[in-house]
Amino acid sequence: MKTDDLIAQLVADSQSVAPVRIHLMFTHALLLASLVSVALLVGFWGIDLRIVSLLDTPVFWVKLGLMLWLCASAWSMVLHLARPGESAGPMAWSAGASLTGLLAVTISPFAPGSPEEQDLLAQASPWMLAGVDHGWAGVAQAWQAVWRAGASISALAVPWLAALLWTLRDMAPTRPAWAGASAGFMAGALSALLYSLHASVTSGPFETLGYMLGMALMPAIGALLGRWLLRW
Amino acid sequence: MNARLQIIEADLHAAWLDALAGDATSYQAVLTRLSGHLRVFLRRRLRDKPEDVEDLVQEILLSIHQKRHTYDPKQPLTAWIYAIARYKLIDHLRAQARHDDKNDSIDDWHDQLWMVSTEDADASKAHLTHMLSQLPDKQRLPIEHTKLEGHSVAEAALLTGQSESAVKVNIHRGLKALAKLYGGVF
Repeated sequence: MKTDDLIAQLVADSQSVAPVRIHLMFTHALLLASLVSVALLVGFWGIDLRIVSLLDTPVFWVKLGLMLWLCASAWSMVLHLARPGESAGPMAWSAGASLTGLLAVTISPFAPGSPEEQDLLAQASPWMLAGVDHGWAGVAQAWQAVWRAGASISALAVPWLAALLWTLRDMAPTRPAWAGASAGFMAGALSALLYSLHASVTSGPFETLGYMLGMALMPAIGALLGRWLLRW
Repeated sequence: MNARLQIIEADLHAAWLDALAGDATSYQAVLTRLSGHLRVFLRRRLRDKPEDVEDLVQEILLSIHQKRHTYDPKQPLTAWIYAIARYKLIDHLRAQARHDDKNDSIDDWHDQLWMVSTEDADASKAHLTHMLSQLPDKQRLPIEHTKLEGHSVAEAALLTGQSESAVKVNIHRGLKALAKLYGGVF
């Protein structure tokens, strides 16, 4: 076909289009996914109401703030990367900064948890200490805590990741892997936030490590899926 | 943004917004202008595949059409278009590379390295065949055997049935005739 013919066809098909309301689209998708994730948490994990006892600890609020900042950065990254010609730019730095902050707070000695666990954390190598204090049982227990938190967060992130990728498909991401990674970033952060309703009180250093792994895994999964699902 | 780009941006952006509002004339004008810009851009980047340029221009125009609802009126149109063009070009090059990996025989690579470009080589070969075809066979064959296929005069004599001195004379006369026909080429 000649290019001029194609242009004529496109012009014939050119009824007016309203610019897409991108914020609204993503908000709807995220709300819908939130319903699913919350239902999953209540149904399979349950909510630990003792979280109320943490409300007066500053660490809880610092962590909450950092998580929300992370979500906000990821939200902005997703919206930027959904369109051609815009870079994630400063938002990526902001997300990285909040993640680093989160890491610093959670491995700091002020992290919530039982006093023994905080003692463990104050040491350079908690893994080794777990083994020294409790033998192999201690290592197994620690590993279990990491696995439990990491797997839970990954599972609870799935509805959000799906919703974000689904909505991104309607947009025009020209960097599919990055767009997918930022969607994973956001899904992981939201999921960690939700899971803390279940496990904040009982979570020790090893569960925190699991949080981190779960949150780090999601952008990687998102990037892989993005390369594959977000092509157009 | 340099001044030239700023002028293009201002021009296109206004027309583009009219087009999004449903103005067919503006839409046609914008798409036609874009196709010109895209063609130049792609020609420069697909030098060894000029036959792919027009296909890709059309694919990009179609993508622009299909994704026009995702355009944010506040963002520069030129950047939006460029990002789409770049995305489609890279996609095309990747697909091409995958295709070549599967279908390109390594055996040809040695020849390809010494070829200025397939197009040039094919064209000059056709040209040469045409020029030689104007000579009588008794001059053409000795020239082909010795100059193109690399045989010696003695071998050419065997192949044509002419004597060695006749081969030499015919080559000489043939080249002289060609020089006369295509003055200055030889």
